[in-house]
Amino acid sequence: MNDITIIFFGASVAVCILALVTFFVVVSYHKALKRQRELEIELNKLKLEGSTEVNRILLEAQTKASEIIKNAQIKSQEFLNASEVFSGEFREKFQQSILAGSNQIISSISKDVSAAVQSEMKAFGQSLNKSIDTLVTKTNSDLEAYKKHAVEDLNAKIFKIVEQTTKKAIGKTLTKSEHEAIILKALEEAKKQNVL
Amino acid sequence: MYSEITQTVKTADERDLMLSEIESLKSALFETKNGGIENALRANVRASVASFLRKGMEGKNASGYLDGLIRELKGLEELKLILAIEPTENMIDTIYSWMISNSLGNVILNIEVDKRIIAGAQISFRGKYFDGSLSDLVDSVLTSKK
Repeated sequence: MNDITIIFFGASVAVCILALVTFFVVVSYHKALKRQRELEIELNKLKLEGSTEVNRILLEAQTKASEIIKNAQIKSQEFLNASEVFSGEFREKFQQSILAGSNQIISSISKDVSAAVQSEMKAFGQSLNKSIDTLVTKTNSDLEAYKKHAVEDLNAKIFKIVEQTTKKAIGKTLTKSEHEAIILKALEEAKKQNVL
Repeated sequence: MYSEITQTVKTADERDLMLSEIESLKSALFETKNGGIENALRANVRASVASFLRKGMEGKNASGYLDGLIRELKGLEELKLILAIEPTENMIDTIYSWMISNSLGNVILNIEVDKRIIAGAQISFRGKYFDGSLSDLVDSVLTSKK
């Protein structure tokens, strides 16, 4: 065998090996792709199933909660009704017992009290009449005193006005020489009384 | 020595005015710049008083004369009069003449005005008091008419 033959043979073997490798890679890729698709489908299926389950659980929980609340409302209303009935009955009974007790007490003492009240009322009436008489007398006396004081006050004011008017009139009417004469007369009088 | 000048003073106001004039003269005694005392007499003192002072200080120690005059003026007795009106000069002269003729020579008038006394005078002298106003008279007449 010559060299060309050997090279050709070697190249053919290499191409065969390369073709086998390529074939193997293509087959493997195809398998992997197929597996991926299967997994995706499975995942979608699981997701769908999961969300349905969650929704179902939530719905169930809401329904249960509504039932619990409704029951609680019914129970509380029953309790309230019962307590109102109880308090109304209790109040009525209590009032009746108080009324009965007080009637009993009043009837037992009414005779004595009636006499005492009549006596007190009589005394009070007399005292009231006396007080009114005293008040009327005092008011009349005060009124008279006030009238007297008011008249005196008025007189004093009138006199003050007359006094001031007279003084001003005299002071203004006098001439300077008359003023001078009165001053000299005052000096003479002061000398007579040993002031000067 | 001072009677000639003190007799020109009839009221406390005039006495105070003269004292202030004398004080201004005293402060001018030692001034040589502004013409001394003569210039002060012409500038700060009334003419009537200035002539008396010139005559009084003639041939004397001016400072001593002025000090003596101040003492004399401050020593004048006061007759206090409360009058109903502001007196005129004539009225003051008349009252002062009455005082001279009644031996009250070294006395000056201290006059106040109070219109409430109507007329006359309320007089105070040497601690004594006399009410010669018409105020009391009018009051007594009006009171008797009450």
